[in-house]
Amino acid sequence: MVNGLHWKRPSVLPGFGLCMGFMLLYMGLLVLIPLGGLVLFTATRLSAAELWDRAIADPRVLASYRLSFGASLIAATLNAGFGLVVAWVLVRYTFPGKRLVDAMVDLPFALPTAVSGIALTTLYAHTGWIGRWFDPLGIQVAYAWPGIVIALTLIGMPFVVRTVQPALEDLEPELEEAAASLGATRWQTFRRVILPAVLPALLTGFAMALARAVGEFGSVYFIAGNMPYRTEIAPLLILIRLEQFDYVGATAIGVVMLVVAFALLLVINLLQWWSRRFQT
Amino acid sequence: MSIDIRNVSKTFGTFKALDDVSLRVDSGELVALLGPSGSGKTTLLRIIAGLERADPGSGEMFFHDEDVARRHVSARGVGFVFQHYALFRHMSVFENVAFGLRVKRRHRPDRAFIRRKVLELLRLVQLEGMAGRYPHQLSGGQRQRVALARALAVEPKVLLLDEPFGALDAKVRKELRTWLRRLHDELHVTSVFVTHDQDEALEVANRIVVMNRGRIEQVGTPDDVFHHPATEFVMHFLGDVNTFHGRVNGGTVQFSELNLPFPENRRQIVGDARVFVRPYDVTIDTKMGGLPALEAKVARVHSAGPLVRVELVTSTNQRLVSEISQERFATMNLAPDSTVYVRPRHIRVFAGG
Amino acid sequence: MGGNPASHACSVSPWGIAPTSESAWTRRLLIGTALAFLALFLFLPLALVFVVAFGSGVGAYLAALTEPDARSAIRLTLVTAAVAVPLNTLFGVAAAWAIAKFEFRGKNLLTTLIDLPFAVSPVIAGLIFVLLFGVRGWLGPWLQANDIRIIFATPGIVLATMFVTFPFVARELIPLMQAQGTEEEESALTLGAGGFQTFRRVTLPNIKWGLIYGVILCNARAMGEFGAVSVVSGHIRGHTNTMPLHIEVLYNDYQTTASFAVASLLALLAVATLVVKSVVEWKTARNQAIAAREVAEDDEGSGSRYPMDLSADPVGVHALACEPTLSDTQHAEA
Repeated sequence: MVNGLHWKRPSVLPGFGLCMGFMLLYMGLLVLIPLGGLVLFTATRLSAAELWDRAIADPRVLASYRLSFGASLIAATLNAGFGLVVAWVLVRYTFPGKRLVDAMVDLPFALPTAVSGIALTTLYAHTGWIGRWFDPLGIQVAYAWPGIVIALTLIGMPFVVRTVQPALEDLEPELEEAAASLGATRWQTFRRVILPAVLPALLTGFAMALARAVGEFGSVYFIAGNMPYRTEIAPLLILIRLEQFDYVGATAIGVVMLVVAFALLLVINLLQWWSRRFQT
Repeated sequence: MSIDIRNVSKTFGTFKALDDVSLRVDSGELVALLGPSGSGKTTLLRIIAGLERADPGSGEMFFHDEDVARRHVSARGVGFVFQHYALFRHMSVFENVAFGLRVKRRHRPDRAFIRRKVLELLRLVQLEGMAGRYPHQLSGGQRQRVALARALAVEPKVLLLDEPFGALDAKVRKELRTWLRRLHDELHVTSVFVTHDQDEALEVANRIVVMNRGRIEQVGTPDDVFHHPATEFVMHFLGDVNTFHGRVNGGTVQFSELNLPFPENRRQIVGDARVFVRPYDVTIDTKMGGLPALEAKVARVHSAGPLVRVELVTSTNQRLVSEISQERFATMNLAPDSTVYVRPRHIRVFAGG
Repeated sequence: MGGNPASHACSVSPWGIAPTSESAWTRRLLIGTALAFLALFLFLPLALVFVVAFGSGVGAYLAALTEPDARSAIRLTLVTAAVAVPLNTLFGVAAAWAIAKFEFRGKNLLTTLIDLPFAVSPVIAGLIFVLLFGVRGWLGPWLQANDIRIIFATPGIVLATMFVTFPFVARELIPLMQAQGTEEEESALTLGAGGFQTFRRVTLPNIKWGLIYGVILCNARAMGEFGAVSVVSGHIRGHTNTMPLHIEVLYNDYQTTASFAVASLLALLAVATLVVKSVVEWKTARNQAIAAREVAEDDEGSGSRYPMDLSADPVGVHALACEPTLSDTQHAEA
């Protein structure tokens, strides 16, 4: 309903100019100009060859990408599976303590990553409550890649649960009744009726968990062990470069991460647009 | 306080909601803006209130000869009753009604006055004892009356109501109509209300403004618009009507094998015409009689109701409806497929095929 | 993201298996899986924090929180939150008002831009401020010449924290204010209220709970931010260590109990945030239920009679009662 000639539809409510002005100023100063600075730094102080050498060809950096993206993918996949189960259980069943469980799902949003980091590390170290059961089997969890996956699963969990939950709630019971009346078994109904209906939400949650995991630093920092080429994630490498005042090296990796983050943001927006298309 | 609207237009994107509309509402009138959805009636009401601005450069608006076109809604002194009431959810009935008095920046009345005024208004809208309730604890009709009391609290110069009964069930709607009419007779505040319900407009308003596609089709008393519709649209919009294609030729109009005298051809209609007859203006006879009539067969009879509706099909396969009294129906012994003779009493003719 | 505990509809029939439900065993298996998953990833770590924190007794716990470095870390964290949270709140309210209550071009782009800091890694959030203000950054030489410290000092920590927690209040308020529409505000204006009066008396009470949750969540994230602050702080003990950084220092020094003691404070803050969230959702669900009831009642009565289609068969549904007479006069009106 925006007039062809004007960019804003007239309204009697006051304060648009003031709010818009403050919003743009604040966002410009705090977010857009600093991010622009990174882009400008890349454009002016980094040659293409340098970018290639420092951000892509360097084997240590490559190893960190492999770890960051690989572990994030595994964690997001775990979250998609278990998150769907948690959402299903919270929407469909009643059991004692359900409200508490539901509230707790948001804990990773509110719990500082340093806290979850040291807690998970202590838990999964070879003397920890859980780690001691893996130690005799010769499986190292903390200070190895399984620990990284566990940390990334923790911080990504609410995304899947909280996007799938409303989608499951909105599902009309008639759909399932219709499927049942047509002779479908419960499993067939789930696979052919329910799952396709919540798939856009599930994928959105997956992409959000993935995006969060790729950029995560705090919780992984403690549990990873941070050994070059083996348990060093990409964000940590940026920090290491900065501590050596190697701005160019840090920016090169930063730009690659930023491009991936924006690509994921775009995918998430497209997924949300796609899921809205099916709403009648 | 009279309202004078001159040449107002309003465009949303490419959609013309109002197209050069002019209207005068006299002081103390109760006027209905009647039309289908999308006719621009609500837009016009919101422009009068100042909730919407007319297109730049178009139109003027005066309240009692005072130019208010550029005045902000909060300074216009209108009372506006929203379709879904827009009661403040977090305030009690009392606080809702008191709101307009409490936010006055100049001459803010003292607490005792506000209390007295609010209770008086609640009595007026028959909600004594409900002051402490919250909007969600009220029925639709009660919420509607709170909204009205809230609008009246600021002693508006003009009262504007957007589909005031639209969201209520049929029975409450009927009661509130009569009640609003009486309230207006008591208060005499210039009022404009929007409705798409012809019965509501006909029963409540002094004058009716029939709107269609952003334009005013006709302005007149309920009798005027009902009995003397100025356009085909008004004819169709107010009540049922039978339509025939016909021709005007000299002093007669010819349609469906009928030739009727058409002497008062003031609008100089020549050639193709459309002929309209209200169902209660269609008389039925079982005998031919001396006057021109159409032969028709009875298709269906609905006799449950104050009037009997008879659906007919003429020999040229034209369907039409007649409404006759129960007494007359009793004398005729009509059954499906019986042949009758149909005669229109009042016809209205408009040019065009 | 915000969950909706309002409608935990349970489709399990008490009389055996409904056609659209699962067998008791499937149900138990699914509930068991979900609970085990959550226990492993949420309950155990949270419980561990408090167990270790109090592992050496209350005395050691209190000592860890009151030693000078811990006190200075707590102070810096409070200062950071005291600057970042009010500014982000002001931004959130302004952004929500402009985006939710008005129609304009570029709104979707603006909403996406507000989300940007969510997508950016906290380490990159720190990096961009180092590139601006660091010794070898754009403004570094000028800042050094004028003896202004931003990186490795409090201003940098505050800026990085503001960046990371920037979207929280706005994200919470925009959908809430969009759902409430503009009728109540318009109504207040017709009653003569001014712009600020309308906001304070009508809008604010309606968004109160969402605003509170947004502020609390923003605060929890501001106090707990690790990655971005890590990059810009320089880890100067007693000067540029916030609580999360202090946790790191203690943990790497093998002062486990002390480290978990500080962590327990932040964990407590997180739990308090979740409690507020639950209360807010409970309140919102109640309001929504009320609103839904109002709408349902309204719909019942709106059996509106729309005008007949002009081109349709004129056999209508209704006409006003008028007693026909047997007069045969035909009156043509034109």
